[in-house]
Amino acid sequence: MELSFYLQYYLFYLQNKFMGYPFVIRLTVLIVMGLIFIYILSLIRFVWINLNLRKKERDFAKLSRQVKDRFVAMLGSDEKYGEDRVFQEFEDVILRMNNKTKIQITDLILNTANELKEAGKTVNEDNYRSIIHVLDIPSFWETELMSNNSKRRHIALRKLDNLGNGLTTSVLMRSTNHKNKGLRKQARAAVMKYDNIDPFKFLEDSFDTDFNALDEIMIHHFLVGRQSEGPLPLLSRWVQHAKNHAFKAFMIKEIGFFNQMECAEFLKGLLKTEESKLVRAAIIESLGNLGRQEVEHEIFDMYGISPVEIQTAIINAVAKFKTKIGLDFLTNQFFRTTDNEQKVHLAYAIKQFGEEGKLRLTNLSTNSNEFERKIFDQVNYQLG
Amino acid sequence: MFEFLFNFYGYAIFFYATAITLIYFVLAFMGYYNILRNRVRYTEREENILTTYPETAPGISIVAPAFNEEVIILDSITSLLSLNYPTYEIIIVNDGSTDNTLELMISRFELIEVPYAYMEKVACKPFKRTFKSVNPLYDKLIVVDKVNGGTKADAMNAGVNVAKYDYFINTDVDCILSPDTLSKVILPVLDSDIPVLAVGATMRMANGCDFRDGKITRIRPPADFIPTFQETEYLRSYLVAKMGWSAINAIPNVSGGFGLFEKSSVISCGGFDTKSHAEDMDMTLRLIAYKREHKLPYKIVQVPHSLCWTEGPPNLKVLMRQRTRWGRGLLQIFFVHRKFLFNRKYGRMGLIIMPYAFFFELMAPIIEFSGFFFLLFLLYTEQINFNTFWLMLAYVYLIGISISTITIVFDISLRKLYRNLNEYLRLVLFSAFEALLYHPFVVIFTLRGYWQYLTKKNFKWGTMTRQGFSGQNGQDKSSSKAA
Repeated sequence: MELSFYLQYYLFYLQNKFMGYPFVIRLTVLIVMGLIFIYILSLIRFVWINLNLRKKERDFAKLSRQVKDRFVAMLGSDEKYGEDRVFQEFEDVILRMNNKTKIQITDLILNTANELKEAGKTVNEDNYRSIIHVLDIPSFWETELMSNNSKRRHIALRKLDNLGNGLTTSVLMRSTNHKNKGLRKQARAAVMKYDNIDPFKFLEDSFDTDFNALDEIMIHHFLVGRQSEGPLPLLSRWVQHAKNHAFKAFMIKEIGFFNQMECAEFLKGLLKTEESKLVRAAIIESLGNLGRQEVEHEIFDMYGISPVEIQTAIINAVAKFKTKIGLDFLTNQFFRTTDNEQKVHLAYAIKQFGEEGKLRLTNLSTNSNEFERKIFDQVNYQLG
Repeated sequence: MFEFLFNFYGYAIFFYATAITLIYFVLAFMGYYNILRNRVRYTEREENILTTYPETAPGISIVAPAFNEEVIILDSITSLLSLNYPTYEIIIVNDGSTDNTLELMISRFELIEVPYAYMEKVACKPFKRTFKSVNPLYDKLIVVDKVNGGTKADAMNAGVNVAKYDYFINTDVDCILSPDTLSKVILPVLDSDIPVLAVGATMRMANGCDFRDGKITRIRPPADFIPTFQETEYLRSYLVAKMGWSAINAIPNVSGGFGLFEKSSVISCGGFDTKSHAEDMDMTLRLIAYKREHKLPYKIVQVPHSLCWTEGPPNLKVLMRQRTRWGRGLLQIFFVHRKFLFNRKYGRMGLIIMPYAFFFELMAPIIEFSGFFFLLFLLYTEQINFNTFWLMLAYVYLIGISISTITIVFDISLRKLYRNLNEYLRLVLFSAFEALLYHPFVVIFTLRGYWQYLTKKNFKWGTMTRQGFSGQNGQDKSSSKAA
């Protein structure tokens, strides 16, 4: 009772004293108290992070000492270990495994497999799969992928893809419409590799409303993965209905990359009707990669009235066709253009015609000005 | 009248300090959010995918001017050659070096003069020749030899004229880049639906680190006093200020030591200004102005990762040269680009970036310096109320150390680069003395820069004593830097 009375007394005393000061002083007292609080909190967090990191490093090193050699032996062995044998080998680890250990085991096994690959050794895929299944790694990450936390889902998706063991699409589908843009797009790209019913469903709607260059790389990564398991469907199917020009141009480039000759006729038709310069340049580039020389005259006619991006695509395509009329066309354009950068580009394209191109450049240099001769010298030197 | 003025000045200083505190804490909050977002969004996996498929990785040109850099040039190029990225070129611009910089490069990297059809897209002093290596190991390297232009901007322009890729990195040869630099800075460019004009990253002091063959083998805080203070100062600038501004697309400056730029926009703006003493901030502002004037969307991004290590001033003399030049540059920016200030036409640049830089960067040294003399005057005339004096002093002191400690926490939570707690504690400890032992010098040297600019003295581009990255300390080789 007495203590509470004294506390109350001094509290009122301080309050009155504080209220008696001018506003500026009162404000400063509050700010200083806030700053001291922030400073102490930062110091505590600083120490806590350090200790936490040290503990993590120690735990990881300890686990590494316990299992790394066994991983190396199994992954590097030609002998096929069955799941029972793997279980026996790791029984001590399995008995005291928790979620933290599973995260560390994932990193450890991925690091070990990478180290073996970098050292030029073959990783025994059967043993690799047995280990991750016995240690319950894929199902742990699939559970993480169902988490309500988008950061955890994001990490899980990456780990599952790195593990390369496939994943249950129903688990993945939960993230394909997530409000977090990064997670949503990554999940949609992963569907292309892992779904066995309708893997390309997200290509129907131009993949995502915020389609960008990083998505192109992700889709490319998963398409390459899918292709290693069997032929890809014709990508022209998704070009036809695409509304996003960037997505359309990307899919057309992928047609060229995956050498889908069956799509060439479709691309030729599209070249006549398409208006977007981005898409037109992609069509010409892909037709060049597919070696469809029959479009040469059409793209020659287009050259003079097209913007630089399309002109560049035409030059690249013609350099790939390597026809006599193509060489004449490039030579004419070299003298006609006033754009010096395009001149350099044309010279490099002419040089790609091999001996014939080299001869053409030599002949051209006799009627050229000093700058043009420098271009020829540069091209001859760099391409040999 | 005097009393009124004194009171007004006192209150103005108080609210000025309060505004700085508020702004810095808001920036710290936004910066932290931005760091977290970046950490989740881009990981080693995205970088690996980028390097696994070279056909998807956009090419990047690295442009590094060199003027009398014989002490560090070989280490610097060796470091740049070992970057982990599939498509890039290194353009070293020899800006008329009078020492053995060029000869050393020729002999070490087996260079020969090659024909090159040079096109001047942005103005610079005459180009002389280009060199390339006959050894395929160094085929990424191009050395451009030109007449000395006296500034880094001039040499950068020559590099931009030669660069063949759409994006280029503006760096210095005294900088060592992290091996994953290129993939880390290009990811935000790829992951954007609006054009990214420039990307900055965190720079640190190389002074305490161990190097072998141009690569960092051990990261430590600097052993010397001045670079240690500067390490925290750099972290504060990058992790709090720039990461914070980046959250609202209002970065005022992509550092001249390291920055990725979109080449076509730089060329459209006429390249780097050879007359500018702060060519990095000048370039950033002109890029923004260009986009605003043409009503084009743009983004300038800051990535939190420490990607570039540079030699910090080892002593007060070199610090004075550095800060005097920065001071001159800052004042020049406000003379040259005064039309941007409070101009609604320039959006965030006119209404946020420039007013902030004006009040809290340009004016700060003036206010601090005059405040000190005001304090002396009050002490002399016995007008100080010591009951509140200590409170005010604690206030000003706490602003600095709390922000510095927050910065160090950001740094360690992003990635632990130093090996042990003691090394981080060194930064925490030094930040407690920064206000007393380092900051006053920075204020004086910055004011010296203002004075030099206003009196139009002949400016020298400061010399920087190079120690090199291969433990060549004590060789007493010095060189002057173009900028």
